[in-house]
This record gives sequence, C-alpha cells and structure tokens, in this order.
Amino acid sequence: MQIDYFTIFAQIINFLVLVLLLRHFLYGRIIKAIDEREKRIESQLQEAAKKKKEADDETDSYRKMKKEFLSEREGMLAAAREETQNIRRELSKKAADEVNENKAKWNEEIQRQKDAFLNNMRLSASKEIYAIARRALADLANEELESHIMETFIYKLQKMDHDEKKKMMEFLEKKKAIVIKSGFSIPESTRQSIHKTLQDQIGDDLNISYILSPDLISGIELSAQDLRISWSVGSYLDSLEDELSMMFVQIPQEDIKT
Amino acid sequence: MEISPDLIIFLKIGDFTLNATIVFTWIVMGLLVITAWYTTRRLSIEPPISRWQNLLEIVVTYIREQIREITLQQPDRYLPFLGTLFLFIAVSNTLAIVPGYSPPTGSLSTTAALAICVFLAVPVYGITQHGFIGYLRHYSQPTVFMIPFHIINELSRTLSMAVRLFGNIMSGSMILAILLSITPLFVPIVMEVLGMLIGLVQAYIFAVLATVYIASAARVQDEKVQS
Repeated sequence: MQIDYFTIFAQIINFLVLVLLLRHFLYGRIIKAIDEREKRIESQLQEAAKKKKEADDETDSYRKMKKEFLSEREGMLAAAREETQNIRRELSKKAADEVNENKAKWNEEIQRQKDAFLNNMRLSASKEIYAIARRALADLANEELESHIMETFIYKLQKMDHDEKKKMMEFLEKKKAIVIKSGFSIPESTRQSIHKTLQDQIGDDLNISYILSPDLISGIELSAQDLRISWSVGSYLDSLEDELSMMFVQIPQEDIKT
Repeated sequence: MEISPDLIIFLKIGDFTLNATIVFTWIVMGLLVITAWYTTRRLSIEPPISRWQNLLEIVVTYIREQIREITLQQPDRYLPFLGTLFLFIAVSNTLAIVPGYSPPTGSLSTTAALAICVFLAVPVYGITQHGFIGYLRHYSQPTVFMIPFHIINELSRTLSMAVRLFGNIMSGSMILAILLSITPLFVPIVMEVLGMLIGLVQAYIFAVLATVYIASAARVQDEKVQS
C-alpha cells in the first residue's frame, strides 16, 4: 500500500478540474434545460388550467344557454301547440262550415232537383190522369148525362146569389152577349129553359150566344165579363189535379224528414 | 500483478511521474466531459429528447433528489462536487471490465485525494454558508474540550473513506486476478459482474457519506444559528 504524494496532488487537481468541467458542460446545462422545461410545463399547465377554466366557464355558459334554450323551446312549443290547436280549431270550424255550406247547397240542389222532378212528375201524372179521366168521361158521355148536366147548370143559375146577379146585370147593361160554352150541343128546349131561367133572374133583355167547346168535357159554362157560372167534369178534374199535386208535394217532404 | 496502478509508470521526468492512475483518470475525465459536452451541446426542451440527454437528465435528477433527501436543502449548491464525485467513482469502477484498464480508484492515492477533497469541502461549504467564525464555532460545541475530538473525527472519517474505497476496489481487482489464475473459466465473469456492482455501491457509499458529512456540518450550523 503506497501513497504517492505527487499522484495525490495530481488527482486532487484532476478531480477539481473535472468538477469545473462537469459543472459547465453537464450540470449547468442539464439543470437549465430541466428548469426551462419545468417552467414551460408550468406555464403550459397554467395555460391549460386557464383554458380549462375558460372551457368550464364556457361549458357553464353553454349549459345555462341550453337550459334557457330548452325552457324557451318548451315555451315556444307550448305556444306553437296552442297556436296549432287554434288553427286546427279554426280550420275544423271552417271545414265544418264549408261542409255545412256545401251540405246546405247540396240539400238545396237536391231539393231543387227533387222539386223539379216532382213538379215534372206531378204535372205529367196529373196531365196523364186528367187525360185518362177526360178520355174516359168523354167516352162515357151520352145524352142522359148531358141532360143531367144541363139540369144541374140550370139549377145553379136559379140559385145565383145577389152579387152574381148584379154582376150579370151590369154586364148586360153594356149590351154585350152572354156566352155559354158547352162540351156538347145544347138542344133548343134546354136553350129555352136556360133563357127563361136567366130572364127570371136578371130580366128580359138578354143576348145569349152558344159556343160548342169540346174542351169542356161534359160541361157547360156561362161567362159574362169576369163572372163565370159553370159545371163540368173538367172542373172536378182540375180539383183532382190540384189534389194530386198537393199529395205529391207532401209525401216527399215527409220522406226527407225521416 | 501490481497492487496499485500508481506503480505502473508510463513517463517519469524528474519529480513528475505519469503513472497509470493519472492516465486512467484522464481517460475517465475525458470520457465524462466528452459525453457531457456531446450530449448537452444541443439540448432539446420539448420532446423528442435524445437517449443520451434522457440518460443524463435521469442521472442528474436522481443525484439531485438524493442530495435533497439527505441534506434537506437546495441540492444545486452541492451538485457539482457530490455529483462529480459519484460519477467519477462509478465510471472508474464500471470501466474495470475493460481489459487492460485499471481503475484509478484502486489507487490509495486517488481515494486519498478524493477523501482530502471531501475533507476540504466540508469546511469550504460550511464557511461559504455561515462564515469562518460561524463554522469554527461548532468545533467548540458543546465545550472547548471537544475540539481535539472534532478534529480527530474529521481526520478519521477522511481516512476511513479513503481506505474503504481503496480496499473495496483493490480487493475486487485482486480477487479477480486470483480467480483468473485458479479458475479461468466462468467464475471470473461472475466476479466481474459482482465487481461492477460493488464498484457502483462503493461510488454510492462514498458520495452519500460525503453528502452526509457536508450536510451534517451545514445542518449543525443551521441548528446553532436558529437556536
């Protein structure tokens, strides 16, 4: 075990030189780099914390906005629902009104068409019935029937009321002829009876003209201005026509109600 | 076989003797300085970081943390001295696996020189921190009669450090040499590995003891000042 003092001294110098060199080339630089990195990391962490805080604030803000938006949306939805309900109600009412209007028009049109149809049918039916009755009565007419008709006519003349007599007398004062229409030819004897009856009722000054009118089915009619005294099957047939028309009008209306 | 590399002399001019201890010390110094210079010439702060920079940062950070834990003080003041102490001894011992290399720490001159550096560093750091009077005051604590014991304590621990490191490294080399002559196969390899481990452990022990000595003196001074 030797100790070389020169070597000891040299090693001390060597070691101190090494300390200085490493302090310059190693520790100083490495520590500086580490410190700079730590500072940078620190600043980055601070920056990150700052950004995180900003992000948190922004998140809170967005959450708040979202909450507000949701509540606003709920309000808007409620308003929209209400508005929709109103519009739906209005549209439904409008549609119902239109439907009712159309229905009324339709009913009116149906009614009009039905009325037209019924009128046509009534007219046709009454005309047909009238024609049938007229033809049947015309076929059945004979002298006996005509004699009865004329007797009835004369009876009616005998039973004229005061107004009828007055009207007839006013008519005769104008020197006009009383017209007696008949659906058949009136025999002379009957004409005299008529003439005598009228004389009894209104006076002697008579001017009577007889006209044969086949339209008066088995009938006879006296006309003096607006006064008419008549008896004919045609008048009954007219009454029949009126009755038929009334009947046809009433039946469909009851059907509509059911 | 030479027990100490001091005895391997390459050049001798008068009193100047260039022995293996000095030469291998220069080699170790060169290796450390070149590695440090090469690595730290372009340090990157942001990733990617080179492997060597990573390695050196880990080593430096580890040393700083160890100093911080032991001294409970800011480590940067002690880092150049204690870190260099550890790195020099560790690299010197680790290179023992290189054939033809003789670790400078296997020389009592080197270990004595390192122990003397520690011996001197303790008062230097103490005086730097607390002043000359403040530092000397602790030698008279608790009484002036303790001054000789304090001085003996300083000297003995310096001697123990020097001899401990020298003995461990020298013995490792010796054991290896003896085993090579007895069982040349396999066993020396295991002993080499063990030698590396012992070398690193000794470097750690030496550096930690130096740290404790320096820190204990500084801390005693701190406690005195605080009280």
